[in-house]
Amino acid sequence: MRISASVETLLLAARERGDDASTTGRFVVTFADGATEAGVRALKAKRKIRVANSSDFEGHVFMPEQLGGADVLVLSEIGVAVVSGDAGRSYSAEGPIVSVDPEHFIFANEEPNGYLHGLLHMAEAVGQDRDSEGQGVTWGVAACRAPLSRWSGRGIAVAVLDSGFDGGHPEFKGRHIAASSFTGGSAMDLSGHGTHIAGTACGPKTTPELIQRYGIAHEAEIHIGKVLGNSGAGTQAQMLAGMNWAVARKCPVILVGAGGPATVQPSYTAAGAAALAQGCLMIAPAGGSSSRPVVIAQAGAPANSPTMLSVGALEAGLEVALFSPGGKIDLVAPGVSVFSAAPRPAMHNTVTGTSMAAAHVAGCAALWAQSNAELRGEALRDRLLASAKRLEYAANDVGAGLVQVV
Amino acid sequence: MAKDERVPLIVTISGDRPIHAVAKDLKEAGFNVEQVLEFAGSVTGSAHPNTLQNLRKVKGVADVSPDHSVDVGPPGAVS
Repeated sequence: MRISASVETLLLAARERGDDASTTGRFVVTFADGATEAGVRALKAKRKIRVANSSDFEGHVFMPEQLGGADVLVLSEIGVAVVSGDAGRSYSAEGPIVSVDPEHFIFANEEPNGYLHGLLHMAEAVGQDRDSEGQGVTWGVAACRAPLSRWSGRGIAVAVLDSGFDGGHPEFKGRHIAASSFTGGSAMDLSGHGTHIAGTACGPKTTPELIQRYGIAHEAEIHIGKVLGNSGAGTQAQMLAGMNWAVARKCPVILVGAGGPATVQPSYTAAGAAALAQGCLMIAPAGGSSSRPVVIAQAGAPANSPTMLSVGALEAGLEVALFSPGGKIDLVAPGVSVFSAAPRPAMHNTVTGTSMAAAHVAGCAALWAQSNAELRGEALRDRLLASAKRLEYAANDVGAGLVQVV
Repeated sequence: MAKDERVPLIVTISGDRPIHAVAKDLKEAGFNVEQVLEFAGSVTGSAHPNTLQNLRKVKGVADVSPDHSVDVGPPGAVS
């Protein structure tokens, strides 16, 4: 892997390589104290290489693409060099070279407190909720009563229109996964949002490690439409392209992970109607711009279209989340501190939002759809509303209530 | 008409005419068609703002709206 490669390029290559996604495919060479120049000479003696030096750039500030075709980047101030994959494999620790190691990615969310918090949260939840086999389940999976269902979503196609999916996630090994990208690149998820909601809707029943069950429709087919870029943003045209794709595939459950403006969009209303006519149900997050109890924002698009199932978020105490909108809300579901899948190497993450709530509804919808082939489109929507657990809130806060599995 | 004056638009189809026929008429009315989304019932693309009235008059067009950005929205918080 080249020295000038961007982080995104490196991440994509690592995931496609699939061996150990925490390494970049490049190497880090550490020189002996004060022996940087001798070390660089040693590197050059071993093979023909092009060397770039951080001191060539003003203030040692440069962008990866400025490094062009260099094989080695010398960070002269710290006595370290980054070496391309091809060159790196030919070096070993000798003389002025103290060590040659694989280069690792760094992630902002891997800070120790976050990790510790995740562990504590997991331990707490494992202590509270167990399924019939004694395995821990997330509070969200428990609140939907998924562990009690005999259905698995088998044979039901669930489309997830979001930021893509990490198809190499080991907890999805052997699953039926189809993916298309509407953003110009691969369907690989670098933002993590799409992998998280797909995990809640369709994650496994049991996992090899001692972690909570976070997925509901554990045998559903997963159809990934990447409509958001890796920054988590996209255009309405991309979202509509994904909706079109999912309806063309006749996916009975279509989870729309993202949204936009507050006003009802005729194009989304039409797409939702087309979906219902084909026996598909689009499930969308209501958005997250309330600051309850002072400000209650209206549900955003596409959830506010009458042909979409609009989902608000609950906290673990089954109280409406402070950010959850009001108005056109059809159902509510767990949406605060939701533990689910994350792209490798993080593997898991705990995230909050109405997208996470919509993901729980999509998983439950897949179980209902499997239980009765008549439950498609409007019939599926009506059954989800009729079977919801009533809550002590107004309908414009929680709709029909908390989604429940069959 | 300079290309950079075009704005991205979403055209929603009423469904009483075949979508490809509507897309053809939109093109003639100055719409630069990018996607014909048969299953979703919309046509996406771009046009100069002063063609909007003409686009709305095309038979089979229910609505012409600007293309909005879509994102995962707040809070998306990692705890």
